[in-house]
Amino acid sequence: MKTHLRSAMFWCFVAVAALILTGSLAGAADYYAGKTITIVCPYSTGGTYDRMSRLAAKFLPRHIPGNPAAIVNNKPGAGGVIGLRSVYKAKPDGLSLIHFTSPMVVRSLTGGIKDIDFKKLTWLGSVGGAHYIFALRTDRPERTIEDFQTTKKPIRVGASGPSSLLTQAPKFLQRAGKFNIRLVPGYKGYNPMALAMKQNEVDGVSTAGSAVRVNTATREMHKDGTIKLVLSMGGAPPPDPLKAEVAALPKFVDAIADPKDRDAWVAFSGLLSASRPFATTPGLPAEPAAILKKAMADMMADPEFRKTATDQGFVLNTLNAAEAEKLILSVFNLPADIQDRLKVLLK
Amino acid sequence: MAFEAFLEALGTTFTLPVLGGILLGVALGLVFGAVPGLNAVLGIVLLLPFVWSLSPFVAFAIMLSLVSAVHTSNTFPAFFFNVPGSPSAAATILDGYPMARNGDAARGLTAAFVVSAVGGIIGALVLLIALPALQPVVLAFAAPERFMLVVLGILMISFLSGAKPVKGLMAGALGLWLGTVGQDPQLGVARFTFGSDYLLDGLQTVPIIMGLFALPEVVSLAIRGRIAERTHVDMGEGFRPGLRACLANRWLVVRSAVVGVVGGAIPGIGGTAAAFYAYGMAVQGAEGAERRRFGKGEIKGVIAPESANNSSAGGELVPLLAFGVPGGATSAILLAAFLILGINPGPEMLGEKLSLSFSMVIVLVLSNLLATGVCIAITRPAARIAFLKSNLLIPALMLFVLFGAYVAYPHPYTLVLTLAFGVLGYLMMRFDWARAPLLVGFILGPLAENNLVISLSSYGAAFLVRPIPLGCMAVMALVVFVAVRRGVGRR
Repeated sequence: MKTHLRSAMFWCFVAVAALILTGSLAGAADYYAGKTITIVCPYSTGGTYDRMSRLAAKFLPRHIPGNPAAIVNNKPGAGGVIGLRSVYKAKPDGLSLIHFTSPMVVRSLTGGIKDIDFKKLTWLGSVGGAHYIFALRTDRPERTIEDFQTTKKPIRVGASGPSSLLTQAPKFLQRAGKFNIRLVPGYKGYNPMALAMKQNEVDGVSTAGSAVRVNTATREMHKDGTIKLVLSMGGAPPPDPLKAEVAALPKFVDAIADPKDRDAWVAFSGLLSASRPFATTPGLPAEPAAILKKAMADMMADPEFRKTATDQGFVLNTLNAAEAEKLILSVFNLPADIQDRLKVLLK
Repeated sequence: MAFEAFLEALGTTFTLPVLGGILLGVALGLVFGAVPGLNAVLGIVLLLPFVWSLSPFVAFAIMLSLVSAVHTSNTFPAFFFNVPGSPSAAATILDGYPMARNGDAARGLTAAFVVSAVGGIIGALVLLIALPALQPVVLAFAAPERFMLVVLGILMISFLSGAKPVKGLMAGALGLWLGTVGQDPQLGVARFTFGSDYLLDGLQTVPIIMGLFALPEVVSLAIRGRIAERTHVDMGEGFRPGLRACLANRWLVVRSAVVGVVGGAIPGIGGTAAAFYAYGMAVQGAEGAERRRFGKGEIKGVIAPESANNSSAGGELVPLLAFGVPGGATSAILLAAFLILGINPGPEMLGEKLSLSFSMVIVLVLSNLLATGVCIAITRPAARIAFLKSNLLIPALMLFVLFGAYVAYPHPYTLVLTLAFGVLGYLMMRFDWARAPLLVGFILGPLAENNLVISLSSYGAAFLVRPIPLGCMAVMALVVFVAVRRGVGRR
C-alpha cells in the first residue's frame, strides 16, 4: 500500500512538474511568438558593433522560444548615446536590445552622460573582451617599466576619440603609470593608428592583443621585429598565439605606485574583459529577462555562431549576464575617492 | 609565377558562378548608385550575411561589381536632379546638371559613362601593375602630407569654381566652419552643438548635399516647368558626340584617373575628394571661354570627376591589400568581407594569393564595362527625364531627397537640417555664390583638422618643412598667384 502511495505521489509530482514545465515553456513561447526584436546598434553601418548586432539578429532568435524575428536598427550619434537612450527609454517588453561598448559607462561617471543610469539596464551578457597590451617600435630603446617612466624623449602613443578605449588605456599609462608619453590623438580607430606606427608617426599603441594579430600592418611588423609587445595591461585572456609572449611581459598594474590609481585601474580593466555587452531596457519583467539571458548564453555557446563570429575576426571572450554585469558595474561600486581618482585619470 | 597566377585568375573568373556574381553585383550596384541615399557601403553591408557561404572569388565578384556599378550609375541623379547618387558623384553635379538643363544630357551622360569605364579600368590596371610600387606612396603620405594635400584641395576649389574667387574663398571658409560642428577630435569638447545630441557627431554630408544642391532645384524646377530649358533635343546625337568628347579629352581622362587612384590610395582622402581634385585640375587647365563654361555645362567638368571617382575604387584597394588599412568607407566594409571570407590582406596578396588579386582586377574591369554598357543603353530613355514636366518630377525629387537624407542618418532632425540647407542653397544660388567650395570645405575641413592635430602632436612645427608639404605650399602659392593675376587682368 505504502509503495503504491509512494508511486502515485511520484507520478503526481512528475505530472505536476511536467505541467508546470510545459506551461512555462508555452508561456515563454507565447511571449515572443510572432514578435520582432529590434537590436539597436548605436553606431554606423559596417563597423564591428554593427556586424556583431547583425550576427545576433541572425542567431539569437534561434535560442528564444517562439522563434521571434529580429532586425538591426542603426541609431548612430553622440558616440552611441542616442541609440542607448532610445533603448533605455523604450517600453520594458524585452523587444529592444542594444549592443554597445562598455567603456561608455565611464562617461556616466565623468558626467558626460547624465540621463542614463547604467545600473538600471538589464544586462544580458558580453560577447567579447580584450587583453590590452602596450606595443612599441623597436627603434625606441625603452624596454622596462622604469625605462618608460624615466625616458627623456616622450614616447608618442596613438590615441583616438576621447571616449575610446584606444585613448583611455594610454591615458592610464601616462597618468597612473607615470610613463613619459605624449598622446597623438585624432586617429579614427586602430587601423589608421597601425599605419601611423608603420610610418613612424607614432612610437607605440596601447590596444587589444587581438588587434595586433588581426591588423595586417601590425601583424607583419610584429613578425619582422619592427614592433614589440612590451607591457601586459590586463583584461580578458590574451589570444592563443600571444599567450606565451604576453605571460612573459611585465604587468602594468605593477607600474602603478599610488594605491588609489591601482584600484581605479583594476576596476577599469574589468570593462576590458566585458567590452562588448548586450543589454535591454530597465525594469524588464523577470520572465522575458530570463528568456533573453538564457538565449544570449545559448547563442554564445552555439558552435555555428562561434565559428561565424571567429571567421569574421571577432575574438570571443564570452561572459554570461551575471558575470558581465558584475564587471561592468564594478566602477560604480568603487569608494567615492577612487571614483574621483578614476574621473581625474580619464579626464 | 605571376603569369601562372594570372592564367589561374582568368580560369576562376570566367566561370558561371563568378560571371553570375558580376551580373548580380552590377544589377544591385546600378540601383544603389542611382537611388540617392543608397550607396556602396550600405549595399555591401546588406550583402554580407549572404556571402559567408560563397567562395571568395564569387563573393568578391558580387561586392566589387556592386562598388564599380555604384560609381557609374550615381551619375544619373547628378544629371537630372542635381543630387549625387552617392557622395563620390558630388563633383559631377557642378557641370552635369547644367548640361541636362541645356538639353545636353545624352552627350554628357555618354561621356560620363565612357570615362567611368576607362577610369575604372585604369584604376584596376594601376592596382595590378603598381601595387608594389604604390606601397611607398601610401607610406609617404603621413598626417602632414595629408593635411597639406587637403588644404591645397580646398584652396583650389575655392579659387577655381565660379568666377568670383573671394566669394569662393568665403564659401569654402563657411564649409570649414560647418565641418567643425560636433565633438572636436582631440578633447571631445562639443562645438556649436547648442546642447543638442544630434549635432554631437557633426553635420552629416548627405543631408547637406541634398539640401544645398537638390532643394534649390526643386524651387527652380517649379518656376521653369521642366529640367531642360529647351523643349526638344535630338536624342540620337547623344552617343557619338559623347564619345568624341572623350577621345578629344583623352589625356584629361588619364590624368583624372591617376588623381583618382592616388586619392583613393591615400587613406582618408578617398574618391569624393579625388573627384573634386580632378575637377579643380580640369578648371586650372582651361583658358578663356572654356574656363568660363565650367559650372554652366562644360563637358570637361563631367569627364574629370567621373574618371577620378571610378578609378578611386582601384586605388582604395591598394592600402587595403598591402597593409590591411582601408582607404575609405567602402574599403572598410570590404576589409570586413575579407576577414569573413578568411582572407588576411597583406603581402600574401602579392604572393600565395596573387591569383585572387588578379581575379579582383579582372572583375573590376568586367564590371566597369558591363555597368557602362547598361548605363549607355538606358541613357536615351533616361535623358527624357529632363523633358518631363515639373508636376511629375517634383514629388519624385522631394521623395528622393528626403528619403536619401533620412536613410543616410535616420533622425527626424535630419529632415530639418536638409530643409535648412535647402534655404541656404537657394540663397547662394540666387545671389550667385558658388556652392561647391562650401561642400568641399565641409568635406575636407574635418580631414584637415584631424591631420593637423596629429601632425602637431607627433612632429611639432617641423611638419611644415617635410618635402611634400613644402611642395604643396609652393603649388598653393602658384594657385593664389595665378588667380590674383587673372583677377587683375580682368580689371
